[in-house]
Amino acid sequence: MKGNGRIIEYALSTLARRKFKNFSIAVVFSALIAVLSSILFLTHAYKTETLKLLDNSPEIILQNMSGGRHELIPTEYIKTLSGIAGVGQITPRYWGYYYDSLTSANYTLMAVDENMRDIQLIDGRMPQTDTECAVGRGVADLRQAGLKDDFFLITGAELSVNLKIVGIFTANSAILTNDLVVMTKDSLIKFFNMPADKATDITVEVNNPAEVSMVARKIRRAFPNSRPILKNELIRTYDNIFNWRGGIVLTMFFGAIAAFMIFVWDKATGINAQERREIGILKAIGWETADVLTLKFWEGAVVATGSFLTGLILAYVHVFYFNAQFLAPVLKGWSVLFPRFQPMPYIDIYQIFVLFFLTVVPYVAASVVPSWKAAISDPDAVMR
Amino acid sequence: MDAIIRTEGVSKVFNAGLADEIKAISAVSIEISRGQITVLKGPSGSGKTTLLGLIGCMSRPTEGKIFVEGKDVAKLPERFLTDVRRKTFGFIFQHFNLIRGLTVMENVMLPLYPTDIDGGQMERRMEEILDKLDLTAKRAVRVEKLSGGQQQRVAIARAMINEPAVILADEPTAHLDTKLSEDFLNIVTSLNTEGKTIVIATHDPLIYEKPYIDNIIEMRDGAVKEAALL
Amino acid sequence: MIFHTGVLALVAGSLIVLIMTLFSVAIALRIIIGWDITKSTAKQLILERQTYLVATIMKYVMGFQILSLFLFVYTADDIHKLFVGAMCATGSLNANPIGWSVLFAKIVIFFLCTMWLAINRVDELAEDYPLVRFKYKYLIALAPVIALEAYWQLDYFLGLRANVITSCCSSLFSDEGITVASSLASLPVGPSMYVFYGAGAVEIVLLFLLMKRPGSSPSLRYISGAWSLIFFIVSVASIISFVSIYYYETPVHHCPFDLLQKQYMFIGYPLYGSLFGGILFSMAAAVTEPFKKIDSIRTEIHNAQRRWTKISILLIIVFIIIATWPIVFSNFRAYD
Repeated sequence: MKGNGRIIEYALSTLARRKFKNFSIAVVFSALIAVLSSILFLTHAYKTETLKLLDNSPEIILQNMSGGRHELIPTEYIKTLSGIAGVGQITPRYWGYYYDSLTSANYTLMAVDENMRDIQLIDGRMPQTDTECAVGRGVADLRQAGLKDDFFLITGAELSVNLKIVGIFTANSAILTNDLVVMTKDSLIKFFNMPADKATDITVEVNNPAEVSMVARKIRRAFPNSRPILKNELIRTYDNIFNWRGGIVLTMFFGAIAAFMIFVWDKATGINAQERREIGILKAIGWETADVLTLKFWEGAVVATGSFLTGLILAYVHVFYFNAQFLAPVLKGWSVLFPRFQPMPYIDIYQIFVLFFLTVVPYVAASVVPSWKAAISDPDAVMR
Repeated sequence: MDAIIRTEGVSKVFNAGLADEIKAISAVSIEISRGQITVLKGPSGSGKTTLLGLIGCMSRPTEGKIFVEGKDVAKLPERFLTDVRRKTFGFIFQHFNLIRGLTVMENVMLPLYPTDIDGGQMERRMEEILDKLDLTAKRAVRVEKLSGGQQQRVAIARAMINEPAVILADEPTAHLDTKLSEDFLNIVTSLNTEGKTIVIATHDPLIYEKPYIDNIIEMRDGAVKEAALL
Repeated sequence: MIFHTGVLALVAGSLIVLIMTLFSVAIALRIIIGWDITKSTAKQLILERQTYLVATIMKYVMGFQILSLFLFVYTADDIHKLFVGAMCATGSLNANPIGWSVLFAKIVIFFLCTMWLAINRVDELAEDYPLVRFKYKYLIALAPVIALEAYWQLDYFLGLRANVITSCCSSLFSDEGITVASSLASLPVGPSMYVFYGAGAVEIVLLFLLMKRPGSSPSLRYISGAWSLIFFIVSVASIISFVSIYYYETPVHHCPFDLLQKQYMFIGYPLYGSLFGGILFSMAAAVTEPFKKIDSIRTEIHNAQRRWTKISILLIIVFIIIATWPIVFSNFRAYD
């Protein structure tokens, strides 16, 4: 082993001898990295999960617009739509929002349709008669209801409907189904008092993905008041929303990063008498300023790498084993019914790279000048 | 006589231009002969430690020339000054200046860490020196657990690890009793017989009254009062 | 503005680099004005010691710059989903063409930093630091380039608009007009190969001559340096034109960035690493050539050049092997 290798070795022994001095930096640094990585990991997990769900959604969702607002769509559109070349399956969807004053939460009410029957994520089964329903995990928990229990929904038009829970969506699909109440089309139409010839929106499958925008344009021409929403646009929008949320939270942490830099600067500047003496001795016995800088570099590198890995592992455990309990409310949004979802563990090099840039780079930058100040001490200082 | 080190009109001013300006030494011209034992004698504050530091390439003089092996080092940038120092000098400091928490071996090898010397060679040198100074049994002991005399021997071993031509000692007996001081002088004389040039800054008569001291340079108030070839 | 963690990291990173550079510039000014190696005053000693600080900072700046180059490419890749028609990083860069300038500037700055470090290195080998004023003037000249890059980068990200659904309407129709080309215009495979191997052969021959006959005339050294630059450009064009398609095994995928991805075994790292390294050492040898006029560092430069030339040859050969590997060993044929 030659020069540099021995300096690394010596750096390690120095750190070992001064465990406690470096401990405070390592703890603060690890904590900062743990928080930042939790944010990034969680945002990324939500994003991936959401985008994965969107993968199964139809190519085009057609909404009707009136006065700039989303309106019910006449089902007679379907006839015209099926005449457009390239259009595959067309399905009207019936759904709406319901505010439950009992639990102060918003539910999404949805009519069961053919596509849904394929969903495997359910305990029990889908509703078959007008008095049955299936609910999401979150709804079931809020109402403290289980399979075969009664389920009331109160409305203005009719005083209440009384349904029997025949199915509960499993937690795996929570991000999609958590606030969901699925019932038959007839009971939904009755509940919302919707006109018989209208649906909430219409989904349109397109056989050839390359023709999606062309089909969308034809639809738009046929129904000038309609708004076709493409799956790709949804993906982009969600992607952007999650980026944005992650970015906002991160921006709030810039203060923390800056504070950390000051902390590092301060810690590194205030080297104690013993450390000063040691560097003086090294200089006196023939270490050059550059050698001491190398030593300081490796000391910093070890602390940074150690803290970085510790922080990453903490965040990983927090997000993927403890469901990010501390952060989830910030990132998921404003719904009372937080989806209780288990993010899939993953390791993404890009995320780690970003984290490295956000934490280690400021750390290094903050410690350059203090390290240099320590390294330039006079070699003959120990003789005075 | 062949001079390994020669100074010409060397001055050193600390805090130049400031209120606490100190003229440590001024216009010192001396010669240190190769293979001899030279004593820089003088009371504290006479500038002998400053002079020792200057000829040992610890810092640069404010004025004057310093020739080490014929090369003027007075204007060398620190980087090259360190290089000359590493290759030519071994230092024994008044307060030993060992690094606590490190073992005898680590302390001794420390000067060689930043060099490109091969690890095996470094350890062979260390073993040899520890053996010579009777420290082999203590090799893995942390230096703060050693006695004063042992600590000084570690300091001597460290000064020898780079195989210097010149060994410089600053008040080496200041913290030692008579017996240990004699031990120190025995080690020094044996190094001298091996051909090393020795320079000792001291005001301890136990050292400068020894018959085998070759030269005495007496300093007072930052200047050479008398240089005697004994 | 795309609000994205990678973007924030890049912007924060370039801010840090800029601050560090400006700090160095302040020291550089002091050194240029006050440097006098013949004096051993306290002031001179402080200036001398500050050179260590500047050298350390420049090493970090170079390091951060190379990291930020990669992060920039990755980020461009990560945000491509936000743009209609973008398939990879190329699409994101096309979404606001100043992105290409940023990429280009990052590479240039990386080279300029390493050249500075090369000059610094030979300068520190001479006892009289003969290049001190030159290298600090160079540093001051580098600062505006770094500032410009930081500004461009900010401008790039601020100028990006994600094609998303807004509250009033679907984005489809407003954006249909802008169809961004997602692949770089690429050169025909056959001729590109001739040019690439021809340029590579010239590069290696030049370096080999310089290694065998280190006393060659300075002009050969300059020619080799200039040729390295040409070879660099030819190589990047070749990676886009044919090396990529052999690695991707599809005739239409030319993206120079996807090579860095996991599905291609991260082959981009050794590929670009050896190319950048090879060019860098060859250019460092050329850049230090004029300073051989100075007596105190002539031998040191001479030795450094020999070492650098050797490393350069080695890396360029490695680069050519990596680039050639799939052409020889994969079953894919770009043309018959």
